[in-house]
Amino acid sequence: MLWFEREVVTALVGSDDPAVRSAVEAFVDGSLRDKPEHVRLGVAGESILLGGYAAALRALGRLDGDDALRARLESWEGGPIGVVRQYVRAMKSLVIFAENELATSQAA
Amino acid sequence: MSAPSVPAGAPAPVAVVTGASGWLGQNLVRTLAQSRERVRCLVAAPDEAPPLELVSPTIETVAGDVRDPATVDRLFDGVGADAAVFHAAAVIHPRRSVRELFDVNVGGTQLMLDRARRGGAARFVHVSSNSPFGVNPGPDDVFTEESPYNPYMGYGRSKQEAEQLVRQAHDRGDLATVAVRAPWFYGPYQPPRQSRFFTAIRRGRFPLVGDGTQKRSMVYTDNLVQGLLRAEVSDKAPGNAYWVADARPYELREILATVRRALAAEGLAVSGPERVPLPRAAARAAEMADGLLQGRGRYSQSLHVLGELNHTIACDITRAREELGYEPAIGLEQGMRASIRWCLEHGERL
Amino acid sequence: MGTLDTEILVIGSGAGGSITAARLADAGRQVTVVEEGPWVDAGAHEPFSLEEMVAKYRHHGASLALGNPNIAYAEGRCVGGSTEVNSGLYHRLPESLVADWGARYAIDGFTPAELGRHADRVERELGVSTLPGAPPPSSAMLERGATKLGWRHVEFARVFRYDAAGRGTKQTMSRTMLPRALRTGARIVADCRVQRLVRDGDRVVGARVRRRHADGAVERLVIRADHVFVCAGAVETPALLQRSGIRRNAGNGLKMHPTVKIAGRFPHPIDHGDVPMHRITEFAPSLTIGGSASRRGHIAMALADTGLPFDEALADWENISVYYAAIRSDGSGRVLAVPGLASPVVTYKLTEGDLSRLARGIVHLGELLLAAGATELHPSIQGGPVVRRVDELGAWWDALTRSRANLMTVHLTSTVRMGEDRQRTGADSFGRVWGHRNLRVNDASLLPDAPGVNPQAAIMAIAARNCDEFLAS
Repeated sequence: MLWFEREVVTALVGSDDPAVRSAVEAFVDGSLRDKPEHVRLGVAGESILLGGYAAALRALGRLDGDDALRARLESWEGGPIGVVRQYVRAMKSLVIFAENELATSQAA
Repeated sequence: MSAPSVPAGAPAPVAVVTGASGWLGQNLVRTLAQSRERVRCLVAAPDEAPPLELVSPTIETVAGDVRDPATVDRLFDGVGADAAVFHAAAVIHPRRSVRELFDVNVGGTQLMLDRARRGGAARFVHVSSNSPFGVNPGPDDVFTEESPYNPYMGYGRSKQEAEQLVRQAHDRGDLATVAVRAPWFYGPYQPPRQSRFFTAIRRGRFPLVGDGTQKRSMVYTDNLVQGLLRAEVSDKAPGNAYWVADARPYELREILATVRRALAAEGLAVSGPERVPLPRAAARAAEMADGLLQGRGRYSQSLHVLGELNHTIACDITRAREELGYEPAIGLEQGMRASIRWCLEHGERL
Repeated sequence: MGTLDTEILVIGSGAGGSITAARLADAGRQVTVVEEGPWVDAGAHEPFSLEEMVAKYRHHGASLALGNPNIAYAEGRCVGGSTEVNSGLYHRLPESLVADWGARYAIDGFTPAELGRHADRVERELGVSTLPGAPPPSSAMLERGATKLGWRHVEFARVFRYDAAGRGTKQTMSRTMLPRALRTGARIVADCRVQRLVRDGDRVVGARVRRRHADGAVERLVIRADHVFVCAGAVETPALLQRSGIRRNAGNGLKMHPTVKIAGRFPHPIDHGDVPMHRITEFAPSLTIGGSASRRGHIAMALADTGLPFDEALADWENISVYYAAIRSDGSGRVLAVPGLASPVVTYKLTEGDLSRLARGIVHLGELLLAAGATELHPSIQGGPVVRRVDELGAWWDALTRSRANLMTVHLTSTVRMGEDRQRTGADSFGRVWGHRNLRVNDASLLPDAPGVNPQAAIMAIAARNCDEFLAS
């Protein structure tokens, strides 16, 4: 799992429970690893590009903390670039599915 | 109109018309308004309603999108059972993309069929086209009711899919449906593109592709309206599709010559050469470009029309005569003169 | 390199492969089934749960057909294949399609009577049944909406057997056909991926495989066989054929049922277990409407699809269920094995008519759910809008575009079509791969088109029919 992917997961997970957070991260990690290679490469490429952009913003003091990253991801999700929208949506889907499924199994 | 000689029922007291403010719709609604108790009309925009409502107190209007479930609900609200539905709403030349063709021509038709069924409509007359059948192989070939589907581009595919929904509704026992296949119209209430056609011919600027012997069936609006009304009442009609056109197809060079005569007869100055020859290759190129653009979801009206001018698109109305009791009353010159007069009376410059 | 000898090698243990193994072993033939995925106990995980995604699916359930837009799909990857993870819905191939396909692709002996015979036997052996009692609310909503609108609807049967207490068990391949095959002498080797087939002219002599053992060790083997049946599914079958140098009509013409979804919020709690068994058939064959897996994770994903805020709706998740509209597509796709990549590249091209059909589907689905009493509809369209009233549905026509539609499918077919028309098929009327004497395909790849209903019934009937012909020849 690339560094930016880990940051994205951390920003998107709603729960504060460290067990939940690490379980979600493990699921996302496993999912990314298990993707078809060409899709994994595409996602990785985007992670590097978007991660670089995010790092630059952070260096300029324009991206401070998880909340700011989450807001940035949301704006990308509604933005004009199709592949960026899909990237955010794909990462969000993985996190949302895992977090909600884990909540159910915990409650059970 | 000649007395019907085919078994037929009585026309419904209430008619529902979509595409009411379109070229065909305006003609149809005016005819229906004279003899029906109520004519419920769907127009696309609110400002299209008042001109129709002025025509007759029997006309009621609903403004909205034929793709919209709530609009079609309102269209049928209070109509009651046993109405006759005339579905003319369609997109021929889309403004934005090929997608519009399917959304309106198929999606709108599906909604109309569904609501007509739920409302217990007595008959559903669907306005179809030659486009699902493509072009004739040669100038002497004509489409009949046995001709197979061979859709011409996006519009053709969308009208084919619509016809199939209309037929399926009948075959499943939902509705008594009839499709009326109309070719190139001419007649009053024509849109600006038709006025441009007249202007081009008057100035001798209309391109005649090849030698002009390719044939086109055309239908004068009053003839088509008569065909739709016959489809509404004829006992044999349900479940079938009929070609409705003028008595015979016309050679393209004959159409040009006739229109020029009609323009002169109505007092307009006609200039330029009778024809501007355009090689078939140019029309072929336009057709290919049309196909490429549509493959990308885009549409160019001029390319599409130019591409079609290369071909024979002609049909045989024998079945409509025999089973609907349809008899075209108006011929090309008379019909063109009536169209030109209408334009002049309505301040259209030709 | 080790070798293993067998008379008949069956590659893949899904619906097609399991029927093949059971029929041939039952006839006394020596059968070895290799399955890329693991043996997972059928009851080990809750259906559609996260654990099941990890254990029984390829790519954690997140496969992707590239296109404009991309279409997400899922494939089972375990002993029993996709039958272990599907809804269990069962519907015979419609007779009109049997006639249509038989004529168009020149498939010998392809008649409703023929297929019906095989379907009868499969159904007796598996146990196909509608619900013994009242449908769960998630399914009843479909019935309620359809009744209000006067739309045709039907309850589909499923491959389920019920005990005296009315508890149902899905009759997957690992519970039915595979144990049957084992009892009559077949061998099943799990965790064993076929790299490629070994050919000698027009004969296939065997397969190179990599088998993973429990301790993690990977063993390379050659399995030698007199006959090979490739039953790896509509994606992996053509990929394997291509990797083995067989390319003619192997991988093109992929068909699927592109699908849009709506998460519908009701003013009352709704169940989250079984996938609804009711189907709206009013708009068949171009459109079908039904229900989807609606565990909390699926509901959350569906709500998130619009990209609009959904926390308030998610808090109410117990009142929400996910429904779908699936279309018959005029478009098609392609499976391409790329040297060096383990996974093939899958692409799919939708036509403008397809996009319009999807928009029509989501509008009709919306009408249905509102008629059933839903108060809020969250569509699988980026940007929404969320709809609460009938007069808001019309906005979805323009909202559903290539760049905003979130599409998926679960049924893939037609990549090695069957029939005598060699221009358009990759195998003959009985699945014999053209140009080869002892190589057959016997899975979803053979179906000439997507059937508009869940394909497992068609796959099993066709596979059984093809086995009969093999045994007779």
